Amino acid sequence: MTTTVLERPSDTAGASDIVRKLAGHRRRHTLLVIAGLVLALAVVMAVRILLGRYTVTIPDFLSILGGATIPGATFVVMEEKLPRAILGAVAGLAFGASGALFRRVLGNPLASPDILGISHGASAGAVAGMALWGLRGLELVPAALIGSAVALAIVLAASAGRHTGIVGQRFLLGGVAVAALGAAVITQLIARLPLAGAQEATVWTVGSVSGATVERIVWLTAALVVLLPLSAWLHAALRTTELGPELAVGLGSRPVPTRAVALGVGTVLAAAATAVAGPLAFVALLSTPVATALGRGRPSILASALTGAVIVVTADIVASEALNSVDLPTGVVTGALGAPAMLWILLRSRKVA
Amino acid sequence: MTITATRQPDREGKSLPSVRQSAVASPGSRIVRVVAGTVLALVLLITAVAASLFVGSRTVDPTVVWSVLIDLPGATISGDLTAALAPGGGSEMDEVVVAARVPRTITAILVGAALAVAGAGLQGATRNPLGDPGLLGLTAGASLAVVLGLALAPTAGATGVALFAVFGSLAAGAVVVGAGKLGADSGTGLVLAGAAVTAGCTAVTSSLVIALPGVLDRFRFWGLGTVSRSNATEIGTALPFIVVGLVLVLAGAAALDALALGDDLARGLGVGPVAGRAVVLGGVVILSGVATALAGPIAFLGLLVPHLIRRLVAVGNRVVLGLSVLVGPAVLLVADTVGRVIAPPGEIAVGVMTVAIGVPFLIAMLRMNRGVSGS
Repeated sequence: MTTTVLERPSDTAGASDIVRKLAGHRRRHTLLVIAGLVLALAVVMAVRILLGRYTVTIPDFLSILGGATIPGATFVVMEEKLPRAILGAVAGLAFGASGALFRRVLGNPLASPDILGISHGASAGAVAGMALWGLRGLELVPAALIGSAVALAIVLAASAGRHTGIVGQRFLLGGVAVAALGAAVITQLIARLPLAGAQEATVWTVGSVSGATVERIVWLTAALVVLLPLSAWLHAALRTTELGPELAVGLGSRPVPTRAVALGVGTVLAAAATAVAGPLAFVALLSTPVATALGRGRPSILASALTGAVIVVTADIVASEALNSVDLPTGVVTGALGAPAMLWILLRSRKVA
Repeated sequence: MTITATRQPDREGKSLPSVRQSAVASPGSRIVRVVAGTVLALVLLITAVAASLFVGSRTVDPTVVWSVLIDLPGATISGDLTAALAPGGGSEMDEVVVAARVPRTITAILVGAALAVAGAGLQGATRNPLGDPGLLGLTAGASLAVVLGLALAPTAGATGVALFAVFGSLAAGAVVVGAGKLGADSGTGLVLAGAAVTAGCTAVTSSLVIALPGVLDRFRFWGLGTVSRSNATEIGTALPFIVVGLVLVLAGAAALDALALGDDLARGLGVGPVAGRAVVLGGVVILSGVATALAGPIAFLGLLVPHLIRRLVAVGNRVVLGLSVLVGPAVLLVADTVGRVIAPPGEIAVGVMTVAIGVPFLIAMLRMNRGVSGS
C-alpha cells in the first residue's frame, strides 16, 4: 500500500502527459471527421445542384448566383435545385442533432425522435393545423411544436415513473404506439384535405424537401443558429451520464434537469425540421451511429448533425433521379433504406434483446 | 394443465399466468366463467351487428331497415345479390343507405374475427404479449404486396389480390420472426422489428402509389383501413381464405397451450414446438393477409381483443382463441359504428378508431407492466 502511494507522484507527470496526448489525438481526429463531413456535404450539395436530369455548368451556376439571367437555367437553379439542396441540408442538420441528443439522454441506440413518434406527432400537429384551422406555410410551426410536445408527453406517460425517471425499454414501445397514432391521425385528416395531389400529401406522411421556399429555409436556419450551440453544450454536459446516473451525480452534474432540457431541445429540433420537410424517417436514427463509427466511438453532436445533412441531401438526389418520370419524396428513400439499417441496429444491440 | 399446476405451482406459477389461473380457479368455476363469457360475447356481437345496421351518419327509420333486411334473402335466392347491394340498387335513398350497411357489417365481422384470432395466435406462438398483425408489420407487408402485385399485374382479380396479400404478410412475418430468432426475441424486440418492417414497407408502398397513380387509384386512400369499400365479390373471395385460416389457428390452439409451458415440456407432452407453431403462424399469415386485402391495414385489434378476454374470462389459449372469433367482430363493429357518428358530417375510418382505442390500452398495459418482457 505505502509503496504504491509513494510511487505515484513520480508517475503522474508521465501519465497525465499520455492522457493529454491521447485526448489531443482524439480531438484532432474529431476535427478531421467534422472537416471531412463538411467536405462531403459540399460535394453532395454540388452534385444535387449541378448534375441530374437538368445539368448546370459551374460557370453558369456562379454567374446565376452573381445575378445573371440564363433562360431556363436560372429558374431551375433558383426555384428548384438550390432551395431543395439547402433545405435538405438544414433539415438534416436538425434531425441529426436531435437524434444525437435523444441518444445521449436515453442511452439507447434506438432512441431517436423518429422511433419515439416525435416526428409523427409534429407532422400530425401540422396536418391538423392545415385541416382544422386552415394554417399555411410558417404558421404550421407552432402546430408542429404542439404535436411533438403531445407525442413526447404520451411517451413519457407510458414510461416514466414519478421518482425513477425514464426506466427500461418501455419508452420504445410507447414510441411505436405514438407513431401509429400519429400516422392514423395524418391519414384520416389528409383524406379530408383538398390537397392538390398525392405528391403534396406525401410531404406530411413520409416527408419531402420539395416544398422548399426561402422563408422556410431562413426560419429553420435561424432556429438552428440558436439551438445547435445549445444542444452541443447539453450534449457535452450530459457526457457524464453515460457513466450511469449514480456516478454522474457523484461527479457533480445534475442529470435530471439537464436531461429534461436536452429532451425538450431535441424535440424542438425534430419538430422544427418536420414542420418544413415532413417526418424524414430514420435520418435522426442513423446519423448518430454513422457519426460515432466515423469518430472511432467518440460521438460528436456536430458530426451527427453533418451526417444527417449528408444523408438527407444524398437521399434527395436518389429520390429525384431514381425513377425517370417521377420525382419521389425524399422520405421514401430514407424510409426504404433506413428500415434494414434499423433491423441491423436492433439485432446488434444486446440491450433490447 | 391442472396436473402441472398442482405439481409445481410455485416454480412455474410466476412465469406462466395460464397455469397460475387454473390453479386458483377450480375446474367447475372455470367452465362457468367460459360459458358466461361465451353468452356475453354472443349478446355483445348481436347488439353490435344490430347497431351497425341501424345506426349511421344518416338517421334511417327502423321500419325501413327491417323491410330492406327482409327483402335481402329474396334477392339472394334470385341471384341478384350484387345488384341489390350495389349503390343505387334500391329505389329510395334510405334503402340505399341500409343496403350499403349490409356488406359493411359482413366485412367488419370477417375482418374482426380474422384479426382478433391472428393476434391471439401470434401472442401464443411467439409467447409475447404484444402480438398483433399491425404492430408486427404483417399488415404493412400485405399492403406492399397488394400494391406491388397490382403494379405488375393490373388486371388481377379479387383472388389475385388476396394471394398477393397472403404472400406479403408471409414475407413480413418471416422477417420479424427471423429477427426474433436472431436475438430480438423479447416483446420489445419483436415490436421494434415490426416497426422497422412497417416503415420500410410503407415507404416503398407510397413510392409505388406516387409513381403509378393511374393503376393504383383505388389504393390511394386504402391506407386508412376501412370496412366500407368492399363489395360482394371481394367478400365472397375472402371467405374461404378466412375459414381456412381460422381452422388452422384453432387446430393449433392445443399445441399453443402446451407451448406455453416451454419448448422442452411441450416436447415431453408430445407436441413438436416447431410443427405446432408453424401451423398457427401459417393460419395467422393467411388471416392477416386476407383481412388486409379486404379492409386495409387495421392495427391494435389483434392486441386488444385477446387481452380483454384474458382479463375478463380465462387465460387458456383455446378459450382466448375461441372467444376471439366472437369478440373481435363485436369490437370492430362497435368501433366502426362509433366512427360513423362521432364526427359528423364526416366519418372516422375504422382503422383510425382501432388505433385511437388501442394506443391508450397499450400505454396502460405498459404502465401496469403486465407481462411486458424486457422492460
